[in-house]
Amino acid sequence: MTIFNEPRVNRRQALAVGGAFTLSGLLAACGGGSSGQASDAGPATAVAGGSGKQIDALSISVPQLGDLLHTTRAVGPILGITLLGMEPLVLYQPDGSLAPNLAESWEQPSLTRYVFKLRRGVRFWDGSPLTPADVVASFDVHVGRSTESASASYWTSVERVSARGDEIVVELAAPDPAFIYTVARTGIFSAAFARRRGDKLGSPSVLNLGTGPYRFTAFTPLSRVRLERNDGYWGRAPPIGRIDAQVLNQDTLLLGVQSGEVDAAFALPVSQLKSFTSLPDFALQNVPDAAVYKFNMVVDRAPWDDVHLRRAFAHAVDREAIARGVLNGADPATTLEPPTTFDGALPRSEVDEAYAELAQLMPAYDLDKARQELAQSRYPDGIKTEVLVMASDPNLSAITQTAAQGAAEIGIKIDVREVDENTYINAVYLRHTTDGLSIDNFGAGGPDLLNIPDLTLNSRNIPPTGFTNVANYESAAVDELLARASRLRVDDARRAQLALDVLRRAGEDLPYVPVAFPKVYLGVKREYAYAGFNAFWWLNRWPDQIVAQD
Amino acid sequence: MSGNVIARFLARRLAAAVLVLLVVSVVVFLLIHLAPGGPEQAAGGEFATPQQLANIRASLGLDDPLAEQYWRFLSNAVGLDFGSSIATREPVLDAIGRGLQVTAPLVLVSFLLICTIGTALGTLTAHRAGGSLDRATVGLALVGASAPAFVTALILLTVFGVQLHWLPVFGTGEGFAERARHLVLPIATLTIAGTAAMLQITRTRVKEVLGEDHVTFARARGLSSRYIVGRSVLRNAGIQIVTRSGTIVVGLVSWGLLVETTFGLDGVGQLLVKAINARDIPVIQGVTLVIAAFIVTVNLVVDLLYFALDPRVRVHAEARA
Repeated sequence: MTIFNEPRVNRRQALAVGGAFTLSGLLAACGGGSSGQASDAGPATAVAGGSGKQIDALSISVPQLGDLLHTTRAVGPILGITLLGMEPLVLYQPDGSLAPNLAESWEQPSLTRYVFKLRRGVRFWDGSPLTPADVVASFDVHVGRSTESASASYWTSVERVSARGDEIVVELAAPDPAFIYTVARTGIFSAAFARRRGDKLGSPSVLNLGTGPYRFTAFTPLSRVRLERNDGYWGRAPPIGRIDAQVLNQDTLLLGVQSGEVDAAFALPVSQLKSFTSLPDFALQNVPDAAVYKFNMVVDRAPWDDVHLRRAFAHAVDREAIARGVLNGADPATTLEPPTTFDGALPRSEVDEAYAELAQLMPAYDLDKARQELAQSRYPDGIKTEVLVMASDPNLSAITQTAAQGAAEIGIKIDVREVDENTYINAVYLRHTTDGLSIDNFGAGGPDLLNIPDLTLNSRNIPPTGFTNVANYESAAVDELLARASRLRVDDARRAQLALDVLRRAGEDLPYVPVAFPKVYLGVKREYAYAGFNAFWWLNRWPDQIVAQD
Repeated sequence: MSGNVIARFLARRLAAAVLVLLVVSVVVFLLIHLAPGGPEQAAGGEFATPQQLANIRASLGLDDPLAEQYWRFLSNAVGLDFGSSIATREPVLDAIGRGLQVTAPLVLVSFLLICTIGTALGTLTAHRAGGSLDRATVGLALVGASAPAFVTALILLTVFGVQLHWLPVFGTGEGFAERARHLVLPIATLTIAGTAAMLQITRTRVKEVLGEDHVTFARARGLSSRYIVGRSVLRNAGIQIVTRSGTIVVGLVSWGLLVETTFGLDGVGQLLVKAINARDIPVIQGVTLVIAAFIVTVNLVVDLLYFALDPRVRVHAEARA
């Protein structure tokens, strides 16, 4: 299991056919930012070649499931299951574009206003009609101070959600160019059902009610969700009769794949890849994840407020060795987000140039330089510190152990301590109570290219107003750059430049030592083909991307 | 009169049992509150905002004095109301009930198999002590007992699940037949792990008893072997066998937890592990109390069986009364 999400602390990720497109088609889709697209067709998910014949049942393994079958508890890969039952207004496509779904069209008349036109004639599984009030209720659960939604941080800019005829109007308190992605990750549930079930909504005996292509039929918290085809679905007929999604530990997953009981596995554990590649009936594919393994240094208190100490440590981390050896061929990272994030937003050559410059800013692996930096710091004799890791992501420990060897050579002694997830999240994210040095796998919660920079570098994300700025990094210049970017439309090319500026600042000030960009692996039985696998597979309607081979 | 003695004995033991459960509940309660991280995260999700967490703490009464929180828990628990899970909103008893549908057959069937196979083989090998059958049986049982349960599980899974495709390798299954199919390998794992202990105590005791004078006399009187073993030998060996049964059944509960993990079974053990990770206080308290109550009950039953098996215990108790 893995914690995931917004700050996804985990090992997963991905890309897609050929490379990066996380973002690519996005711009096309929202073309003009204020794009209103009308479409009578249902979601037009690309389907791979193949017979397109129906699949009776599919047993899959997923990295994570919620403790409640509800949209308030669905983040990261959990959405890959919940969005099949409780579908969103707009659908994120494998090519990065957004397609109309429960909203047959939408427009953005101003930077702070979105209007969605609700599709008519859609019904929940129980036959009751979908109304604008359901959408308002489904949005409102994430808004406000008393919300219990794990997605609340995406909704802080929302001031008001209201219905106007068959339209839903969302007013923002401040511009949020990535808001449309928030809509794409937000499932719609029945408000009436929710009211009737009260606080038992989403529990195993109650489940939840949506309009999606699959309806929930069983749920074991954190372990298993069973879905069955919704025969009355308004859109394209769902291609799979039954989906069994389960969270399996590594050994069980391997056995399940070997015995043929698992048809597809999302986010395979990197540490076990060799076992999976040796199976003849199981095909693996991988894409770069929209995530980064990074060391975090709390810069507003000793000892890591000393930039020379930070630089010394950065020089002591052998990224190449870690990316190659520990992470099985991941790419070494010299900044906080992978270059693929910029695909579609900037020409490849420009991105490469900018990343070459970012690489120059990041202290390279060089123990002599590390010693020199340490000598200039307030701690010429080195320091001793502890780094917390958790078992659910074995890479955290492996990376830290490798880095600790280099650090020990210059006098920075690192003890690695394994703790449970709760303890880790508390210390690293929520309370920022580590010794000052920590490691995490931080994943983008959405495809926007400012998602990771904003979460990790904006001073607003330091407690008490946020927590993902784990380094407590505060820079007026960075805040200003991020504010400027938020006043631009999501497809404005200047946002990419601003994102690069922010990353440059982070490279100079060094609150983080990025280590590697992991890949995300998908394994599928050879009797099936999966097209368009990407880092945000959990936002896609992925069953439409699977076809049975002849 | 002896009924009276047993009643008094029972009353004493029940009082002790209640005391044990109280102590367990206090210790568990304190341990949960000492651990870093609070249940508000279970309710708010991993990445709830600080404001949300504060709201949730307040709404769950987690900022109240510990004594007050404990008293609230205890007064509800007396009425068998453990509240609802903070994370899943499910009533704790419902969650335990669901877990027991997996764990109860797992532990009980394994226990019955261990008792049957263990005593049968123990008696048989005691009669053939030193022979090749004895050595082979005891050796095999020891191998089973010394292999860690998860290794046994992996071997069984590889052979019967992956190679032969006879049985499923994970999951709980729905309906009686599917559930039974899913439980075959977990039960086999526990049985293999536990049988040696039963075999060994039975073999040792039966062998001892076989050498005692009363058995020799019984033989001399021409009583049948079956009669001697049934009425004389096993009854005399019974106290030790029953005692060992108690420890085995308690052991099965903790081995079961491991086995549930290996086989991906959603039993009580898994429920507890997840609850501990989420600091889901009501579930942790509910499950630990149920497990503690089970263990206390097992001990009580073992004590009562002494009365039934050994007249000396009854006489001794009466003399003291």
